[in-house]
Amino acid sequence: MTNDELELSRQLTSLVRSLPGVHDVYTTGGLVAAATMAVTNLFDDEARVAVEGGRVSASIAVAAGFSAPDTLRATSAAIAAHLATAGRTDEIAVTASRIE
Amino acid sequence: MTDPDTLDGHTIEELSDYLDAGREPRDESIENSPGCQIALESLARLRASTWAVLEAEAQATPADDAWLGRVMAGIAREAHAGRDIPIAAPDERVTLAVTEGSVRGLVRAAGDGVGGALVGSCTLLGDVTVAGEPVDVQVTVSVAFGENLREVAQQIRERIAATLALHTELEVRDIHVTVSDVHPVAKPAGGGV
Amino acid sequence: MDQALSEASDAVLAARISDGDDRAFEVLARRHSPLMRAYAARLLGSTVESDDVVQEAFVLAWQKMGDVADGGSVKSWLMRIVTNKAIDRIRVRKQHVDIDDWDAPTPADRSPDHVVEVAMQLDALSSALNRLPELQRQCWIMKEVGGSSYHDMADALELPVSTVRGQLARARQSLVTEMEAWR
Repeated sequence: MTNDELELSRQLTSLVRSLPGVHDVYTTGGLVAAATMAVTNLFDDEARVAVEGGRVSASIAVAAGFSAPDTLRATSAAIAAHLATAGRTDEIAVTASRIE
Repeated sequence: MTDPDTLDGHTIEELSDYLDAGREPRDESIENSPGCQIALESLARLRASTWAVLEAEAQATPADDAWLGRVMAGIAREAHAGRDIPIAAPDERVTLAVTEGSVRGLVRAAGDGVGGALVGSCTLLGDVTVAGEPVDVQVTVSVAFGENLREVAQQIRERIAATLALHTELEVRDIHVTVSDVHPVAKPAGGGV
Repeated sequence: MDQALSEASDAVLAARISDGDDRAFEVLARRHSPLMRAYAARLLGSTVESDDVVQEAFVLAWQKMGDVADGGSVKSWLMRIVTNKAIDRIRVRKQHVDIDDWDAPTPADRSPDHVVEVAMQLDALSSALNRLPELQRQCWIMKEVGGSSYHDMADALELPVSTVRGQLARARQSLVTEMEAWR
């Protein structure tokens, strides 16, 4: 990730974390992607949303009491809105890997 | 003039190998020899005692939460994520999904505790990656002793259907709940701590 | 429900772990790690290294739990993984040691001294195990507790089968003598 992408990742991670239906945000994409992200942002626990190759990917845990589909849609909407303010039109992928 | 290193013609090592083989195939010359029988008992006791030393040590050692914490931090949770199950997205730029692993977690949460049950395995049959494709759910559960198995299975089936309807867009056809085991009722936990 | 999970059979835990339940995995680790660590400590003689070995074993077990055919045999499956990981460490050590020095007593800094002893008879056997030369103890524990065959041990330790048999015979001799003294 470039520095701009890293900064965007931090912003998106913080944004997604603050959503009411989101319990937690994980590093995405499985072992290879996680290893790549780990190398580029070694101790950066705050940049978990992947920003790479025109695509933003987020892996979330849905909070107890919230519906997964609603939360996924709310998350993608929040990400899209933030990207728009930055003048970006990346593809967006949000996956719930845990539903409390 | 018997060889002092043998018991009725058998060395200790032969007897040890015989014991390892579960005393099969049966050797009459060993089985009929009091000396050999005593030696076999001694060897078996030595093996059991070796185990006992380790088990006693293990039981007497306090739980090491710091060590366990390191183990838990070291496991790759995405290893069992399974397939991505699609959720309808607002436009084609967006892809939404719940993982198969998260759905199995929902099924466990739905089944656990119903009549003291504990869900074992959960399998989603069918192509869950294609929206609208019919899917069957297969679940095994261990039920608490004394419960009405049919009622418990039915209740679990209903709870699974409800949670899948709430959190997924799966076209669930059948939910098979198989009682694989019966376990004793857990004793009530000791007074509030 | 957590209490029910902590009392669940190994088979139920194994099924849930294969499906990704990390709480079930923690229960399994709590249940079996004490024995695994005591076993590894006897093989490797040092609790720091043995703790690492068992940690690696459990991390692998999380990945491979789906391979366990019979949920009831999870304990012996874990034991085998720990054995293999310990053997890897033993092999690395042997590169630095004169491998003909099989009868040397255990070096003091590798003596398994963190033993909590319970019964007098077990005390005596426990001490006898500690006093065995290292290779004898490793072979004994691997065979009697780990369930390894002569062939597996010889392969793993890169020794002739006759050497493994010889080590076991000597260990057996010492331990039987010790145990019989308590009858």
